[in-house]
Amino acid sequence: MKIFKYLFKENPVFVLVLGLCSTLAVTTTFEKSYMMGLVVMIILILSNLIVSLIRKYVNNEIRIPVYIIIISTLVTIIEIFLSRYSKPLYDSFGIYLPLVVVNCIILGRALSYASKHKVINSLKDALKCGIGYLVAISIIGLLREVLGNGTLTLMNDISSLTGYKEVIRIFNGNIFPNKLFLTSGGAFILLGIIIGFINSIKKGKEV
Amino acid sequence: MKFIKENGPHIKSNDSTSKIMTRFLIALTPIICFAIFKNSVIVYSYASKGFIESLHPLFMIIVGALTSFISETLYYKIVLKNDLRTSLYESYRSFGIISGILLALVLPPNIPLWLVSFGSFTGSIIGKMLFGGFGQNIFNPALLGYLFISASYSNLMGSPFNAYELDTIGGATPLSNLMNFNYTGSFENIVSPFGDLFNLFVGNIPGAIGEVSKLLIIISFIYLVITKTIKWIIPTIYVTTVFILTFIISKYIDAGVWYSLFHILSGGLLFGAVFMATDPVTSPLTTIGQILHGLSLGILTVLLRFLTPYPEGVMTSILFMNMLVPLFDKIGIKARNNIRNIIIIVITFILIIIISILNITHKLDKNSSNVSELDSKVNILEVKEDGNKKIYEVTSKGWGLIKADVEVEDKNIKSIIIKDSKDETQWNEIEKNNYIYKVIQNQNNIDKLDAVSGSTYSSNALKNIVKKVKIEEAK
Amino acid sequence: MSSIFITALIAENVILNKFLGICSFLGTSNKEKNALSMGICTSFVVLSSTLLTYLINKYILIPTDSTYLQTITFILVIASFVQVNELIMKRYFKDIYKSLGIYLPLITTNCAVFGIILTNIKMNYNLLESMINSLGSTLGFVLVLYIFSLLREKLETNNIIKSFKGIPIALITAGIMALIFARI
Repeated sequence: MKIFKYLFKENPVFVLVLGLCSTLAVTTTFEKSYMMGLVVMIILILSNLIVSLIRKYVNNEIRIPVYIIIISTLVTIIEIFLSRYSKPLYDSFGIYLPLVVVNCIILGRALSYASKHKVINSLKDALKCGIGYLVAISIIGLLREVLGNGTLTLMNDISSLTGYKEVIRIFNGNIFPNKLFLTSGGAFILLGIIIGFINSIKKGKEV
Repeated sequence: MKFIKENGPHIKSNDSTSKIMTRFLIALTPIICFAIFKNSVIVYSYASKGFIESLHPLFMIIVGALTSFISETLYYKIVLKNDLRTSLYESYRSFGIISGILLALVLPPNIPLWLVSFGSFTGSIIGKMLFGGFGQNIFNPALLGYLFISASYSNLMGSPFNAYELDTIGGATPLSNLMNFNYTGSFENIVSPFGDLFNLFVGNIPGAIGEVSKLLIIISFIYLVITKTIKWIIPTIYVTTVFILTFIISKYIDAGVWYSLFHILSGGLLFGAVFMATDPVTSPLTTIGQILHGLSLGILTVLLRFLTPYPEGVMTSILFMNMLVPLFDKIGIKARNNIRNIIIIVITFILIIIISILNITHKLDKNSSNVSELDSKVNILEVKEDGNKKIYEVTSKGWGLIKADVEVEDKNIKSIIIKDSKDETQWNEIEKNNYIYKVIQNQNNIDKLDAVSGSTYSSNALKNIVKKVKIEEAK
Repeated sequence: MSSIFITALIAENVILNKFLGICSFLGTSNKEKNALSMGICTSFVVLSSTLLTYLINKYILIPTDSTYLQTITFILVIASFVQVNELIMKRYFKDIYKSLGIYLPLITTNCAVFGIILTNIKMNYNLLESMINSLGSTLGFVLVLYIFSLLREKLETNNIIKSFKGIPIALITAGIMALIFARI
């Protein structure tokens, strides 16, 4: 139940509605989705760690610029890594990889939590948030790819990194694949309906 | 706001709900009858199709109406937890049946029934019930159903020709034919393939099952206006605007008044204007708002028809303007009895119209230079006729020179056989992507097909072949 | 040229097609007037950053082969223009500054701004094309923000079931808008 609470009741995407731009943009395949989830999680953990470590030396006035520089440095490191070792993934992320810098979740956690709490707590907070984000984006990616394209890409773009390649075809009929799920409009509607459902489940529990 | 919740904006009592429903059904009856006559009776008599198969359009209408009625009832029952009686009553009152029928009427005659059902369901549930039910939806549910179908399964919607028309006309609908001629051309090219303007008027042309007979739509319109069921301002201004704009364009391209009449009589313009744009829930309440709504609809439809690869434009315009309804009402309230605001609005619209016309004429100029460019790139060396088959031997300039045989049957390209290609480096990509097959598949709207990345020249050379042969065939 | 503008404005609308700036889309677009002045501030930042980032990229980053520094440099450029914008507002438009004050620094973290700048670089636009793309994109941003604020006003009085009130129905509306925009 505690896991459920972390994942759904305090989920950064489904409940707090943060970091939507990457959640909607890169979720056309499952692989891209969970990779983006991992990238955000790693950066979240590192940025919370650093921010928490230096929290006593940064005064309020220059907080935001300093945090942005920290985050964008971390993102740059990941960018260099991916462009070097997994070019296809780097290319298919496009502008959405550098855009992790302005992901509201990361800066939000840095400002509202890590800058005020001890290192260990900040790490816990980052892990909680990161996993919530990873789960949310993976669910959306899974639904969009399976329903929209009829396939499930476990690993394709990053196969140069792992040496493993697997794309499963799930639907090949008339009803599915349904292209709507791959369009941007379909992504908005799908997310809206998922959030609505989670709300109604929560409400059912409260009553 | 309680008031809106209980009654739709124009519905005074429960009694009048059923009255309005009856009037709508009466108005739709001749259109439905004609749809069945044209797509069932004629098809059964003249094309070799079974009895049940011929009744497809009737099933479409029934499935459309039933799906929206049942899904709305279930929504009232399961989600809103009413008892069954109330649910049925509420669902009846929310005009679900009408939007289900309207959806079926704007669909092409060969669409699978489950797709009708899908559109009707998504239109009712996502487009109407989630927004709070009847009277609160932002978008027209029937059109939204159409939007969902075309966004999801555009490849499964089927051709706009019924079996009889496939045998006799084939080729293109009036609007896609117009697009193939780059929106210019003589009466012989644009109207004659479909008979004359009178044919367009009575509905003896291919198209969605309910939209073709303009005569019956006008009769229904008069009936609905006389019984005060719909507002006359929006459709009248909408159609007039389209007429005036296309008239100006027709002067530019030296066409007669038939050109603007053709625009009004083809596609779903009249049907959309009468049955969709007047939807009391999704159109402005103020008079000035309605005038602006009609004007904007007309301008946007003409823009979409001329500037985008979608030659229809009516449904998208109506859906787009649904979003602006609050804005039009806001302006309508501000401008009432205020000469200065009215003048500002008038000037804005004149400017918008001028810019639109300039854009369209610019595009037309560019198109005509494209045609001569096409002539310089594609050469037809020889045409062999063999029964109802024709084989064009053509060359097309890509990166190098492509030589091909194009086999045409009933004005449709059946195969393209490449005999010689000097585009060697690029050719791999074309084959890898099965691009020739795609080109044949998309021959009726070839401009929409993207080029293979990495071999744009060869892709365009192939597309040019198709364009040239199509133009040649249409002559 | 005009095709870049129209594409940026409608077909590849920043919010509806590229999902950029959804936070401000869902958050601040409740008030119509705020939506407009926010839009103007955003376009100031976007246009001036476009110019500077283009020059920096072309004359410093590319010649020195350090394009991997793009992310950091661009975000710093944007952040500084946000500061400049704030100073101008504080000095000359006190009223608007008061009502928008807390939102202004957030332009830095508005994905739309950064996204537009990145698109210009990724698409290899020249200076003029970049400026046109930026202008079209921001106008598209403001346009959708404005239309949406009007729709949301209407939605607020609607009788929507509780679980879908607020964000979910806003997302569904945005989705339908995106589908319509994609057909234009």
